[in-house]
Amino acid sequence: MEHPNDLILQMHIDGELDEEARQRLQAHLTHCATCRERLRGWELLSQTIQASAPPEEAFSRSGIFWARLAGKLPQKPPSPWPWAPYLPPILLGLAAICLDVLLTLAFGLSTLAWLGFLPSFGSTFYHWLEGSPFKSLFSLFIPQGIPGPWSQLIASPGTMGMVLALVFFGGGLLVVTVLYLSWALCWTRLDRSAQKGGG
Amino acid sequence: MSEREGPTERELIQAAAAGNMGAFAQLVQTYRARVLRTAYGLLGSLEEAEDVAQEVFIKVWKGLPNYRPSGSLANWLYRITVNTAIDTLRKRHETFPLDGQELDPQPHPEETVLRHDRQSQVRAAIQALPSNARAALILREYEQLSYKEIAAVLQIPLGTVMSRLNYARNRLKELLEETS
Repeated sequence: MEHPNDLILQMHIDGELDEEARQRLQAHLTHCATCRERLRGWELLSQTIQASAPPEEAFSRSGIFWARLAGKLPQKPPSPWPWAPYLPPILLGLAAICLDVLLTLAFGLSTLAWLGFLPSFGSTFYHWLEGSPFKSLFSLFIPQGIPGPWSQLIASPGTMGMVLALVFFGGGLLVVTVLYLSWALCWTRLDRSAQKGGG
Repeated sequence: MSEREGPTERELIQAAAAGNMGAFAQLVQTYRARVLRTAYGLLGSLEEAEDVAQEVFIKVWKGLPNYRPSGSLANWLYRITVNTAIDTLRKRHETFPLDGQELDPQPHPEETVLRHDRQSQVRAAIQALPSNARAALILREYEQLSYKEIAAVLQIPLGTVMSRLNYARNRLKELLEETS
């Protein structure tokens, strides 16, 4: 074997030579005093560098380090979903749009039915509600004892269906609007308190 | 009755990522010395090493929720430490020259070598190396990382790790011979 270069000797010291290369180098070193000396030089340098590493006592004690660090850490790490705070307005907005569309459709279809272009929308909706899972909700809005001329008016399935559509979609829209405003109120309060805390 | 072992590193990481400061304190306790030693090796100043270590752990705290362990936590920490220390060196070089190679009006590391004991001489000689070679050398000699681990930390090919180490050691040898 030829004399190994410095890279090989350093790899040997670092334990990075594979078994075959290591054995070849060992065989060479047994009869080459020059390379043994070179290897010793690199070993010595490596030991010298390692000895120059500062001892742990050179740094501030663990408790002091942590006390200093803890004061700088934000109380909570940032959310992995930074868009999460925006979900409530987005979802409420989508719900409001859906309810608005349904309400407009109900009005539009009722108008078309009233003009005679379609069968009665109110009746269709009324009969659909009777067979739907919303039946229990529906029963809540059935007037049990409406006085005077109103009882005549609401007794017709067409009008009743129209009234229920208004109550369902309009009421839903109202609930969503209230939730939206509540969220906005909480958000601005949180924002104000965060600003106070930060300032 | 079997004893319940403490939480694993993975559990600590998950808890710290969820905002548990106690778990994070344990991680800091585990890695503090390694981060400090690496930062010191790159900066040559205890004070700056402490500041860099603080900055590293703040970055880790902020980054933990998005941390996806593709390698070991230690390697991730070493990478942040090296990058933060190199940033600090860059800031320092806005007022002082680069890597002891260009213009150097006052405290040249090679000159300070003459004034101190052997360990200080070695430390000063290490500081005279270019930062990329110094990073590889510190990770190998102070931290005992394998070439593969150094390559992963510094995100360089294995061959580059070997050549940087070889350069750093040869240059260090020259510097120490000049001063002894």
